[in-house]
Amino acid sequence: MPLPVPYHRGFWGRVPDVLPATVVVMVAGGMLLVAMGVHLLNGLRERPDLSPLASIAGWAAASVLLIGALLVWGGTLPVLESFVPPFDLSAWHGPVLPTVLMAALAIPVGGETDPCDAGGRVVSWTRALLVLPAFVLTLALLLQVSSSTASAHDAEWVTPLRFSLAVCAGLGARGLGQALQVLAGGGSSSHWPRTLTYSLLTLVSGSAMLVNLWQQGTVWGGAGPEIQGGLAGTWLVWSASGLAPGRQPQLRAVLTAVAALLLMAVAIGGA
Amino acid sequence: MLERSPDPWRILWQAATADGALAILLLVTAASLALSAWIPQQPASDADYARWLSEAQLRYGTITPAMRSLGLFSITRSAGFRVLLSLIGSCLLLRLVETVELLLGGRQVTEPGDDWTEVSGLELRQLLDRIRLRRYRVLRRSSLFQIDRWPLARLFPLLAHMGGILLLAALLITRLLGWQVQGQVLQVGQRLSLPGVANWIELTEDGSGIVRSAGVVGFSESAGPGVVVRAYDDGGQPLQVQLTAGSASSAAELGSEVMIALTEDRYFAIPEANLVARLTPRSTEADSVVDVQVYRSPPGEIIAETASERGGAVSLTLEGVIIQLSPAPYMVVTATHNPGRAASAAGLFLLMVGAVGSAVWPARTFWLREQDAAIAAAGPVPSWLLGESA
Repeated sequence: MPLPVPYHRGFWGRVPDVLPATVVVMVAGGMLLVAMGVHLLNGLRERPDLSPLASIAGWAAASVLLIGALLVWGGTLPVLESFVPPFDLSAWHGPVLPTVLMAALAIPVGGETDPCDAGGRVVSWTRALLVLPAFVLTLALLLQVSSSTASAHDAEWVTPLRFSLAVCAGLGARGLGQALQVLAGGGSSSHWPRTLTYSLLTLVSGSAMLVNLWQQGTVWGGAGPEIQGGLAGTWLVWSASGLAPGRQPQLRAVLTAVAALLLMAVAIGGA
Repeated sequence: MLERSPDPWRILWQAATADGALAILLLVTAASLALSAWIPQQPASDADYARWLSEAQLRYGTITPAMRSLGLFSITRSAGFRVLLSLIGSCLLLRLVETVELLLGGRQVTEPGDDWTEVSGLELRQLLDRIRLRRYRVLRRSSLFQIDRWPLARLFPLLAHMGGILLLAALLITRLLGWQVQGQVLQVGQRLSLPGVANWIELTEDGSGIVRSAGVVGFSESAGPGVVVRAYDDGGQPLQVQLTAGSASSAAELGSEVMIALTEDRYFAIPEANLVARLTPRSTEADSVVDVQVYRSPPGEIIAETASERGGAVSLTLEGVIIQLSPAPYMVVTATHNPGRAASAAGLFLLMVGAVGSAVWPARTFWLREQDAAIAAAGPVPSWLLGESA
């Protein structure tokens, strides 16, 4: 496959091509940094409550990344085709595709409630940990956008399985944030990201295996070793985390964190 | 008074059916699978072995032999991995028996083992009404109330265990009785004999699909252009056509009609007319245009050069020899015989339903009791209940 034009030049030569994408990612990263800062500040002083500011920053970052994800994943759809030309998407290739979707879905907007201590006071500094996975993913995205090489044809990345894995990994990153919160002693009153990720991962991997059985006669068919071993291994760790006793939330949190990290590695792994 | 020693069988049963035991087995299996994804595994076929070995030596250098002796290049084919799967199967079987017992004995109130914590805010009756609204079942024995989600919450783990056992059994059947033939190039009119009695696979007449014997699954990995070559002299008598270099599988093929899969540049000769032709597909599409160059042999000079129609059809007349090419696209197919296919599908389906159901509808049992006008709770009490009663 011939490399896209920007990859024939050096880093500085590519700056004009990757600038719009870099700016978009930097704006999202900045918003997330603001959200984390606000949560940390709230943990140090009770008044004034700046949580709405963090919420707005989270929503803004999620919107920016979601628009990017929508354009790169759905840019070939007739309904979106006319929206793509104004944006220069030459830097959105290969692993950038799942990472942008994961980062957008990893941002905790709504759903997660405040953990309270025994006295009912909101212990909000640990909420910064909910945003941390999304922030790290955005940093990874920034690195990928500014220095990525076209390692694989986009057709190998834009597949239903890859898309589903990126969605699972994005939701799994929310579960990772909650696991970090539990490990930091903040507790967590919301379990839906973990449950949703596991359920979705089960359905995605199970459906992929059923389709392979039907079409190719074997469970894994033509899937590569990264997908075979990675996906099965990740599902087993998620299952094991569900078996961890509820009385030991920290053990469950460690297993959830490992499972989420594995899932993200599988989603970004080479096509 | 004699103290009764604990029953060792009971202890063994409890250890084997404990969540922790299954979790450890799953984690070890997950680690093995993750390693097998990270370290390139030795291919099953001899054809890919040399390439794999050179890549492994390039990647791991001097530690390659040590890794090989540790079995890191054949993790999922190792005896240890099979023992691990057997242990998971046994564990699931024992847990299945226990789950059936829990499902059938779900009408009994059991004693909680946890400490009691006091909840306040609502009367017991109001609390129970709210619990029932959330589709929990409430059992009563004197002042003790057992709240659970029987039978659904017990049914889902049962399905998951059944699915897991069925899937493992199907994998064993596949391993023992199944086979797979990969990368076979087929053209229209060719029938490939497969292992076993009367197993075969061929392409449909138009070359767009696969026909196979019962019990065989055929899968098209890729497709491309191909032609049937015929040659005649000026009297209309057929001439012999022979495939030459670049046709490894059928190098000695000689006949009045030869099929050529154009997976790359291919050559054929017409020995009686001292002609050699080169066929070059312009793309990998099944209906690609094919460039044809005809040489005199010897001395190797080009005497004709033309392009076919889409699909490869062309007819050339050279010095009293008629060369006809007809389209015969090829497919690279994989044929699989998997006797455990239906069991695998059933196992996967049950496992999916059971795992998702268990995650969304977990088997949670907790207890409430009223004592001295206060309400106490034991077990994993849901947070919404504590929130409402606070």
